[in-house]
Amino acid sequence: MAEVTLATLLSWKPGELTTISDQLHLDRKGLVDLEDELEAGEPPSGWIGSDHYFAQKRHTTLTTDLVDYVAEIATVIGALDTAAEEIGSAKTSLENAITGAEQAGFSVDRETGTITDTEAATTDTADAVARQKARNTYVTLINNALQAAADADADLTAVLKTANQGDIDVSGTLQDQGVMNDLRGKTPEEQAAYLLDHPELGRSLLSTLPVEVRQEIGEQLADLAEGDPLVDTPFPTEEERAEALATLSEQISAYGSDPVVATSFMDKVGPDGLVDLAARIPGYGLDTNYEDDQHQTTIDPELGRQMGQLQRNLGLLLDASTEGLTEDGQSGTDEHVSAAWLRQLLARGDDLVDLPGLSNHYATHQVYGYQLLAPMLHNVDNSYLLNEVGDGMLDFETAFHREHGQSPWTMPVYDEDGRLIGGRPDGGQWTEHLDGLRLDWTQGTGEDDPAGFDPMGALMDGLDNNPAAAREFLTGPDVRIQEFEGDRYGADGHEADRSRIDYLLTDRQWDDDHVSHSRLHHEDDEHPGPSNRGALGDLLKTATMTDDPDPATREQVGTILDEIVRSTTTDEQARGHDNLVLGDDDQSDYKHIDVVDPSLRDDLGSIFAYHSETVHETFLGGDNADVGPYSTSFDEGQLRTLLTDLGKDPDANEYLRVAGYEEAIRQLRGDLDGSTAPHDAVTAHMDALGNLLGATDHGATLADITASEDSDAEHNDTTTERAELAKKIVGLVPTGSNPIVGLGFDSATGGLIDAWEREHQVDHSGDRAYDSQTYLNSRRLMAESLAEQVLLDLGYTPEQAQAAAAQAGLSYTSGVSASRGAN
Amino acid sequence: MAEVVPDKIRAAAGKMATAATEARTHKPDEVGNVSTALPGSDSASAASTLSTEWKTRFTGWADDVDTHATSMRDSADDWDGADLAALAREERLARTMDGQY
Repeated sequence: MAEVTLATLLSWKPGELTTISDQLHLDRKGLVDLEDELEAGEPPSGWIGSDHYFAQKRHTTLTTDLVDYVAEIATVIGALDTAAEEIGSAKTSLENAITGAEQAGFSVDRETGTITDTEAATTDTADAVARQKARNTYVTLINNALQAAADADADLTAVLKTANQGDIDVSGTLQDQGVMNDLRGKTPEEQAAYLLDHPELGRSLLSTLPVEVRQEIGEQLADLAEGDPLVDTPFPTEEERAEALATLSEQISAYGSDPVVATSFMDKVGPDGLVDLAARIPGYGLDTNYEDDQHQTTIDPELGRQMGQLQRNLGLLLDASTEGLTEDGQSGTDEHVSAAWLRQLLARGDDLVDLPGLSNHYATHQVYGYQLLAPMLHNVDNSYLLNEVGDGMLDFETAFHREHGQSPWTMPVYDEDGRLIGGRPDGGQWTEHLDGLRLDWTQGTGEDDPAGFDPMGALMDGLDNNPAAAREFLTGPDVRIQEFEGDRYGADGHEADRSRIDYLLTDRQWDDDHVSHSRLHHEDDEHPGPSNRGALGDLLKTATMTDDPDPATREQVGTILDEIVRSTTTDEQARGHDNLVLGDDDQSDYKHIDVVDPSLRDDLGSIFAYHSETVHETFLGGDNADVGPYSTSFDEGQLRTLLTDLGKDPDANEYLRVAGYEEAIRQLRGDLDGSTAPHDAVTAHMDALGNLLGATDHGATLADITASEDSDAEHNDTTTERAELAKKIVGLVPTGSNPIVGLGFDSATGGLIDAWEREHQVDHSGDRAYDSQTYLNSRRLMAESLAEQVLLDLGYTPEQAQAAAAQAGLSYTSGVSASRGAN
Repeated sequence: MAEVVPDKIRAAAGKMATAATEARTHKPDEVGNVSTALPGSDSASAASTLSTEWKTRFTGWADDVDTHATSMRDSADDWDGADLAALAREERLARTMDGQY
C-alpha cells in the first residue's frame, strides 16, 4: 500500500470519482439496454442447418459475456462511490485539522506535513507541555486522515485489479444487472432489504455487491431468522409454518453461501443465538405417531422438508462463515468468524438446551447442544470446524460415559431418585406429547432415517465431505474410556486411552437412533431403529481409499489401516467378552462372534480390497513387516482373523476375492517378467493368494453363506476351456507396476472369475460348501491355471508353465493351510 | 405477408450490428480518469490498466458481434435455393458432434 502524504491527499479530487462513477453508471445503463437488441438478434425460428446451430451458440456466448462484463462494471461503480465518500471524508478531516492547527498558532507544511509552533517559546513548563499536547493532537488527526485515505485507496485498487482479471462469472440476465442501476444511491440498508425481497436476484448480483451491502444482508437475514413472522398468529397451521420457513430458506439459499453475508449473519446472532435458532426447529413439528405399532408419518411433508432445509441452510451459513478459519487464535475478518466465536459455539455443545416449542411452564425438555449443531454438519467441509466439533463431541461423550456408564445421546439418563438428568427427553413416563420428536430433519422422515439423537452420524457425514479432514479426525488424539475386569457392574472400572479407530469400531455405543413413542421402549427388538454406524463405514472408506502420493497422507492411511486390523481383532469382544469387559481368557469362537459389526463388513471389505497390494505383501513379508505403499505393519494372524470375519459377508467376500486374484496376477507378472527362475515367485505369490482366499472362504463357511452339501457333480469343463478363461483373466489385469488396486476394473475381472467358479461348480454365493474338498480342489486348479497363463503370457515355454502351475497349486494349498491354522 | 427466413435472419443480424455499435459507445473506459482524480495513488495506476483492458474487452466484444452479424447475413444469402432436408441433417450432425445428443 502506497503511503499517502499530506500533499498527495490535498491534490486528490474525490468528487471526480463520483463523476466517473456517474459516467460508468450511464455506460452500464446503455449496455443493459442492449437486452432488447440481443433478444431481437437471436437466430430466428425456421432457420435450420449447422449455421443455425453455431449462430445460436455464438449468440449465447456473446450474451453471457456481456452480462459478466456489465456485472464487473457494477463492482467498480460501487467501489468508486465508496472511495469517493471515504476519501472525501478523509480530505475534509485533513483540511479541518490543518485549519484548526493554524488557528491554534501552528504552521503546517503543505508538502511534508510538518507542524511547527509559531508562538514564542514559553518558559512555563505547564504551558510548554500543553502546547506540545495540542501539537500532538493535530499530528494524530492528520495522520488518521492520511491513513483513512490510504485504506480507501487500497480498497479501490483491489476492486479495480479484480475487475481487470475478468474472472467474474454471474448467472442471470442483463435485466438483472439493470437492478443495480435502480439500487445505486440507496443506502446499504435499503439495498439489502430490496435484495432480500428478491432472492431470485441473489445468484446474479451477489458477487457484484459491495462489502457493506453484503454485511447488511447478513444482518437483516439474522433478524429475519431470529424473528418469527408468525408471532401474531396464535396457532399457525403446518402449511403456514412451512410457507414461512420456505421464504427464509429461499433467502438464505440465495445469499448465505457468500462468506461476507454468512459472517455478518453469525456475528449478529452470536454463538448462543445460533444454538437457540437450532433449538427452535424440532418444535415446529413432530415427525410421527405410531398407530398399531406402525410408523406413520403424520406431519405435513412440506413442513418436514422445510425444517430439514432450514437446518441445511444454517449449515450453509456456518460453513461459509468459517471458510477461512484454519487455526486456534485467529481473529475474525469480514469473511470469517473468529476462532473465539467458534470456541464459544462449541462450549454450548455439552450444555443442555431447552427446546422452546416443546417446553412449557410445567415441564422443560432439553437436549445437548451437540445434538442441535449436528444437523448443520452434513454439508460442511471445513476441516478445522469439523475437527474442532469432533474433538469436543468425542471428549464429551466419553467423559459422560465414564461418569454415567452410558451414552448421553439416545437413552434417558436418570439419577438415583429416578429424575431425568440428561440424555434423551422423550419415550418416558408423561412424555407422550413428545412422541415423534426428531432432531435431524435433513435426512428424511422414513423409519430408516436416523432421528438425530446421536450426533456422531451427522459429524461422520460432514467429515465424509473432506477426506483430509476425515483422516485428521480418525488419527487424532486418543480418547479415554472406562474398562472393567470380569464383571462390568460388580467391579471398579479403570480408565484407558484408546485410539479413535479402536473406540469408534469396537467400543463406542452405537445405539439405535429412532423417533420414539411412549408406548414403545427404546430397547424393543422389534423396533430397533436406524443406526449411524453406516456413516462410520463411509467415513473409513473416504479416509483410506486414496492413492494420494503425499507422504503425510500415506502415513495417516497406513495408521488407520493398522489400527483397523489391530483394534478389531484384539478387542475384548473378539475374544468372547462383553464390550469394555476385559478378561485374560480367549473365548473366541469365530462362528458366533463378530470381530467386526456385520453392518461394517461390506465397507471394510471394500477398503482391504482397495488395499490388496498391502494385504498381499503382508502375506509375502510376514508378521509385522513394514510393507506396501502405506508402510503398514499388520500382524499376519490378526489380518487373517479380520479377513475371515469380512469373508462372512457375501459382498465383502466378493471384493476381497476379486482383488486378491488381480493382485496375485499383477505381482506374479511383475516378478516373472524377464526372470529366468519362476519357481520362487510362483511359490510366494500363490501362497499369499492361498492365505487370502483361505481366510475369506473360511469366513464364508463360518457364516453358513453356503448351506447345502457339495454335490460332487461332475465337472464338465475341459482343461482347454479352463485355460482359455485363465488367459482372459490374466489379460484383463494391467501390465506394469500399479501401486494401487482400484475397484475400477473389478466388474470385468470379477465377472470372469464368477464365470470360472460357476464352470467349476463352486459358486461362492450359491449352494456349495466352501470347505468341501471339491471346492478346495477347484480353487487350487484355478491358482494353477492362472500361474500357468501368466507364464505363457510372458513367453515362457509350455514346459516351464506347467512346472510353475504344479508349484502354484502346492503353494496355494500351503497358504490355505496356514490361514486355516491361524483361525 | 409473412417474413421469409432469410429476411428474418438479416433482421436479427441488423439488431446485433446495432448492439455492437451501441457497445462501442458505452465502453466504460472513463474509469481511467481515476488517475486525474487521485494523482499518485495506487488506484490511479490500477484504473489506467483497467481502462485499457476494458477498451479492448468491449471493443473486442463489439467486433465479435459484428463478425457474428456478418456470418448471419452470409447464411441468409446462402439460404435461397438450399436443400432444407440437407440443412436439417447438418444441424443434427453439428449438435451430435458438439455433444448435445
